Amino acid sequence: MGRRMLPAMSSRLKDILNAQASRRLSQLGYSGARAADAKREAWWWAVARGQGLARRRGLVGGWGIVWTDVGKAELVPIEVPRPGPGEVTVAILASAVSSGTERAQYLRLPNARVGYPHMPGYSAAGTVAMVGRDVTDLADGDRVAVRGAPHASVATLSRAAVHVLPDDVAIEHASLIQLGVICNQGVRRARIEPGESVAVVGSGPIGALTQRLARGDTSRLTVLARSSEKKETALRAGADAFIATGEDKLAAEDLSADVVFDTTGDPDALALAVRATAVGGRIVLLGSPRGTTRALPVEEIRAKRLRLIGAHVETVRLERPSEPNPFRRDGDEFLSALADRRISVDDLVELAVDPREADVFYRDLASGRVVSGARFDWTLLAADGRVRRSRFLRLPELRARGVDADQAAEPVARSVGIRRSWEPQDPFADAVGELRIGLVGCGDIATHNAIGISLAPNATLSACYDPVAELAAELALEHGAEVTATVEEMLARADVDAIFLAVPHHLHAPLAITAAEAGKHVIVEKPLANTLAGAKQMVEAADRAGVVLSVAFPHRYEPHAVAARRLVLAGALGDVGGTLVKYFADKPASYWLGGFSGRTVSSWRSSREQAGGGVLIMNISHLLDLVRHVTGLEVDTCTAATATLDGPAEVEDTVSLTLRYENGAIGALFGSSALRGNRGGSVEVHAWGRDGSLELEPSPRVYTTRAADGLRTTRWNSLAGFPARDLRAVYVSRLASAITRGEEPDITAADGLAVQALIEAAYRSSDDREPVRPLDLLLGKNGP
Amino acid sequence: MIVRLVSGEAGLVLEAALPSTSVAYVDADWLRSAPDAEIPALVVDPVGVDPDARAAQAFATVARECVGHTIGLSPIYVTGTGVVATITRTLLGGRLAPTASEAERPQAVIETTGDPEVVLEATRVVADLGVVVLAGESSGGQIDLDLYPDVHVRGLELVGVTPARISDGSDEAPPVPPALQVTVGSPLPRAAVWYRITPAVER
Repeated sequence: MGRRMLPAMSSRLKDILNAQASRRLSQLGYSGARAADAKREAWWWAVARGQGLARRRGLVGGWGIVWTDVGKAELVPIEVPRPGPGEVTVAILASAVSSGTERAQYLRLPNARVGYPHMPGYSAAGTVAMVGRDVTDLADGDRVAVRGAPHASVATLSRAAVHVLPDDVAIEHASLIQLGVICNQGVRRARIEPGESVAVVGSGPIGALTQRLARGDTSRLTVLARSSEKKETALRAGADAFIATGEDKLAAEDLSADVVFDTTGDPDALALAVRATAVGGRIVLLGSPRGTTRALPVEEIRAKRLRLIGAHVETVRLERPSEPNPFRRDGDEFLSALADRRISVDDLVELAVDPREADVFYRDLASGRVVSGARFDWTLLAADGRVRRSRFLRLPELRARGVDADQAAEPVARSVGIRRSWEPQDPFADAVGELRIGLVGCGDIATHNAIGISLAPNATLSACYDPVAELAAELALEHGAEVTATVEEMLARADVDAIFLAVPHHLHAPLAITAAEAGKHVIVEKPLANTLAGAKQMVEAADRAGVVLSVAFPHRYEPHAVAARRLVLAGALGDVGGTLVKYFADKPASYWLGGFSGRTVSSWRSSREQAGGGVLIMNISHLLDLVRHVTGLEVDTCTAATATLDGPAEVEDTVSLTLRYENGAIGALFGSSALRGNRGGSVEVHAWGRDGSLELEPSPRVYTTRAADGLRTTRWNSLAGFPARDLRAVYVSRLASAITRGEEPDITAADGLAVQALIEAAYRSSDDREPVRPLDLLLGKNGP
Repeated sequence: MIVRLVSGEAGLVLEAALPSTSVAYVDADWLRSAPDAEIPALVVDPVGVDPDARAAQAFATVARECVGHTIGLSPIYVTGTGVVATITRTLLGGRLAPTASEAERPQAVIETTGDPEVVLEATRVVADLGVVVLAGESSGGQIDLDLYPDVHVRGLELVGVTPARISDGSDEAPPVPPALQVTVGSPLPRAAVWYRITPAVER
């Protein structure tokens, strides 16, 4: 009875410890998946130290691929013990993917269930990093193949699992050592006699290698596979014939092969193998069947007197129970075949996968986008992290090890001063020229623009104009500029190269056209104009005059936006598939008469004709440009609804947009300036693709499954914390440099037009209650 | 030829379209099948021969082939109680294992019943790298087998043996108990090792 109670007590004890750990982690702020990750990390920490203590040796650190949960593969820091007696620590350079087994395990197919966390991998090659005391036949730096190594940059294994490489064998080829053992023992167990005919069912890695190892003295070798996709490869590798069973269902019947290898792992493929085998023939079951074979064809097996031979790699151990290393001979025979060039395996490891991209790789493997022939290439990781010192006496470092999957971790690289290619740099470092600017309109936003101009190292505020002379005088005094009495006077000044318009929207077009005609470059506070028609006229005028027309969308220069755009361009999200924008604000009633600052009194903001619209054109236009800039997406169709909940009846204060982008992506936007309780404003901007997610606001961070310089894959990486800068100063400075160099500015008139067309499409869609294409509006296809 | 077992008032009844000049034989193990199962029978035209001896020869040929697949292996377990099993046991002599279980694994199992349950049990009890000889008529339903845990991982070999057939061979059959006579349309009599089936008596 006592014995029966022990497992129950042990299970109960485990439950209690688990509950205690959960409670403690919860107190520390960990919950749900994060608590599970933290427990896993603590467990591994303990296991590694246990292994070290058992050997009386320290630990070595590296990276390893771990399936932390169903359908989730991550590259995480690992620790392994330094080698004990009879052991070897190997710096892994390539680890081969067992596509059939790993796919089956990843998809949780029958006979392939694994517990989580799970470290996949079974076969690798690299160089000896350390050897245990009594290992005398290996030295540091020796090139070796290792059986049973997980996908990791470092592994400590029994000497028996390590095969020394012949000089001529490439590391990536040798990483197939375990596949070599599997196939070699299968071929050996088939006992093929010279002159016998052979068929191999399946053209995956096991099928492909079996075909090559079995070729030898066979009279005829045929490969059978469902499709003809691998036909050329099979024939090149020495097959005499190839049968695509999906296309020619009867061909197998006539094959009459003396030996048939079933390498498929498909429980239903046996019937095909039986049909293809000659009377008295052998079928070698080499692929691991993933499930039950229904209706075993016993009658045919009997009628043909067939022999069905199970040949799992573990049977080698059963065959040679007294040998300390029963696999050595099969492994060495495979390596000899490689060294002698009797077989070629280039195609079985041709796809070099960056270990950081394990997550996307396994998803591709599961979906069939990648079929076989892959290896993890550990040389793609920084060398100093692959085999590194690891402190034995330390506590589990939950955050630093990236356990907080849901919370952005402070990027490791930044803390040690490494600059990554996508990080924003000093925006003024390459500033050139001296752009002299005249500010037209000195109200609400002009104060910000004046500061920006003053802070830009290559721009000067020369003159200010406002119909309310006091406003112009105030800004001029503050920034060392002069005041002009009229716009014409400003345009006549020789010390004004460019006009910066910060005036009500309906004045953008007429003033910009006048300025362009006077030969001045034109900078416009967003939006480009109150209407698309006006915006087009501005662009035409600038083109005619040969001056630069640019629109101020300074949010682009947020450091995290700069980083995000570079990461998106580098493929961190894959093809962008969706965007989501939320803009919540609670505008006070006074806004409609004096803006947020109340600097001037004017009612243009509440006039649809003058402002062009409400919250969409006035505030959200910044975000429209930001999303377009960061994602590179162009809107194909816009379906919108607008409403006025509280503001002046003419302009909307609430808007909803559904977007279809040209690349097929979709987007949604909801904005309102009449949402109570949002006086401080609340903005969210998200974009995502198959390979990652990006949050621009409120917490700038990126989650990617693609290798990107200095980012942890399958973790949220913070994009916050870069040095703050005056965005308008950056904008003005970069524009000044572009004008000086005669280059196109960052933000062109075309950018302004694109945003203007989208805004106009949204308003028209809301009015007409149907989808509108901004491009049609730009090209004038959809009415005036 | 196919015979069929059907449920009758007096128990299981054999049905067959047997020519009036022929006799047929079945291994008792084949009759384990459920009612309505189709059972292959061995038909002998009795003119000028001893039909029992011809049939015994045919079954002995199967038994010899079974034993031939186990050369060098010992002990060997034989399933079933029919005529093929009986002859096989005789041929194995001292290599015969009296019992088989996961605790006492034989190196080979000669499976003569064709009963799916017994076939599955045979793959489970045989030793690692062992041989399972498939010699039973699978008349009683299909065999669904997960090849991974036993055949694949444990390195078993499944070997098919051709069914019994009447040949001109003159191999002597080892001594077997006499076949039990049963008439088509009559209830199946008490258990036996094998049965001789004769056509229905004309009334």
